[in-house]
Amino acid sequence: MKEKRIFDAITNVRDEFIEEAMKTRLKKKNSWRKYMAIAACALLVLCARILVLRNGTQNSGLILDVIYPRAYAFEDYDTRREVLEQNPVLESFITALNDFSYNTGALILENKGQNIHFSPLSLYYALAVAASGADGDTKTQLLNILGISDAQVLEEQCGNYYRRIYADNEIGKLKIANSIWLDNDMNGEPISFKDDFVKRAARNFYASSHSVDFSSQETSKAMANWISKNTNGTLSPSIETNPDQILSILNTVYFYDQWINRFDKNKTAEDTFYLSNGSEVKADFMNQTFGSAGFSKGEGFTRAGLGLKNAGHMVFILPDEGVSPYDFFASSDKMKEAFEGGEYFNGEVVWKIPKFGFGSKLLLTDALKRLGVSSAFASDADFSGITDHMAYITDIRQETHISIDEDGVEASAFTQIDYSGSAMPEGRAEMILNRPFIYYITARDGSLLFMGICENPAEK
Amino acid sequence: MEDIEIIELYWARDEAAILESNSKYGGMLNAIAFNILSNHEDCEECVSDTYCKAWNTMPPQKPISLAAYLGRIVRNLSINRWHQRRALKRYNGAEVIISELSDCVPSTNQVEREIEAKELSAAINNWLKKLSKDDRVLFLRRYWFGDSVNKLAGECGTTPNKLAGRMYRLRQSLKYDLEKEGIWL
Repeated sequence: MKEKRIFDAITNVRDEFIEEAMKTRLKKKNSWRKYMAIAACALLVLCARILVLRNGTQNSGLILDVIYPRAYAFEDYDTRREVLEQNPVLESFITALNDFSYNTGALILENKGQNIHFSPLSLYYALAVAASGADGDTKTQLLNILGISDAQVLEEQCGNYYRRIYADNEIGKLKIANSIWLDNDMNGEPISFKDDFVKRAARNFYASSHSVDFSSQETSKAMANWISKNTNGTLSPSIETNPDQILSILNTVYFYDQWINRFDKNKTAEDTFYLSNGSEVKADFMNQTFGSAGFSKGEGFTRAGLGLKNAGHMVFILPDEGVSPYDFFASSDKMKEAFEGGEYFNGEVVWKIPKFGFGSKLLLTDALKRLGVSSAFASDADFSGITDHMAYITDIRQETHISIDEDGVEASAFTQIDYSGSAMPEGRAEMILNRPFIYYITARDGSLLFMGICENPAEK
Repeated sequence: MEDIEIIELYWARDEAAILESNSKYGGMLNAIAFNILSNHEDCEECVSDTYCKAWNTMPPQKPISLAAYLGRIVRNLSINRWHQRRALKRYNGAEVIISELSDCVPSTNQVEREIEAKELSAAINNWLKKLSKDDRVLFLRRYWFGDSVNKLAGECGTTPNKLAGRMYRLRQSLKYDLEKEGIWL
């Protein structure tokens, strides 16, 4: 009963302390940047504008917050197994997700002479949220690009996949956050939103809903705060809203993890990185050699990956000398060949990776139009699942960031699984990444979270 | 919607008060209840009862912080339900019988107990005030909102074991302060 008395007394502590605890994020004892091995994040902004006002019933919309899946410790294998068992994901969903990544990546990772970082997963989730509120041709085109013909299956799979890859533990974090910002008033005219859409978005996409006034500057601030909060402060973009806007879907993917085998900082040394324009820059290179590890060689490239503790792998594709990384993005098939093809070997792998950290700002609207998503951007778009008013998407933007360094934790049992008991060495790969290269990060299921091209590690 | 506007809805007997409370604090209330009960069905009922109790107590109540007000209700309802469940499961009904019989115990010391409870809350408030903001937030996130050690450790960028050590030191500090104030439980 003593405990009950303490419990009751704590229940009645001052309101101001409760408010403070509710609004304050705990300080990190160490900045995440100091101990992360790899960190990446993405922000996707999808804006929809209203076209014509029709009569609609007044409905301020049920605005919902999200309860994220329960976090569990890195070594809590029982819970991890339980989560995986309870949230089955179809192989066809992973295939659709990766095909989507190749289709969009081949168009988005184009030669601009600078670093580029893209999250296909972030785009996939934002479009899936939009598809769940679409109908007619708009819905068909969106489902077509997302590679799943049944909207309900898509929603369920997105929900299950979300719970499978969600990680928030002492080693790292992988969190997709979605939010829907609704304007329920257009120049004095009421706009009604469908409660069902808001509820399904919360249930399957963990999307919180916010009722706002897009003509107010406070809305831009609130959206920017939401983004900053969900990317641990790594992204703080300025968001511009428009009074004509009725809906904005925000998606962020925030990720950091540690190498299974950390790089020895004492072996990091400055060396030359050769840019595609013929000039040179200096960069710090991390060095490590594995006596027995897997790698693949294909036409014009060598590919090898490094294991991450929570997620799957970070994989690097080094084009042969004289081959441009963009050659592999000429088509989705060519890209798939570089990401999955080639002949597999097991042997010594020598790593020399420049430390890098940069951000990208991408406009994705044109790429989606080229992939056949036209209706969603047209004045006759059908988003009747969201609102009875006519609305269409105006633009889709993505802002991303990535950085890598040596840190991580000492080799664990995973290392044994990855590197021992393998076949006799069949060759040797030199992953000397001293010229532009491609990289991608996969989740546990092998799906593509991020991809990019490092043109210049010195560029921020 | 601001707290004050929601409270006005309660006073105006407008059922939108419950919808607005749910959209603003539903997530928080669900999390508190679930952290205590670990059962979705019980959690939903407690949150639903919380709105009911809020509806029945406003008016006359006019809380300054609606979050704290609703949070207290859901904490009380959840802990009571947890005791009921525990009694049913573990004590095969005996605790229920004892609990029922407690109605027969003369309540002469009820006032004294209430004063003691107020003193205890005041002492905890004083102790919380002396803590650093980060320690205070950590203590309340664990013992008021019921957030898991794993979750808090993740947010602090530390391991659950290290955080458990920090929590232990905080509890010891509270114990020391309460003893110093002459409060014995």
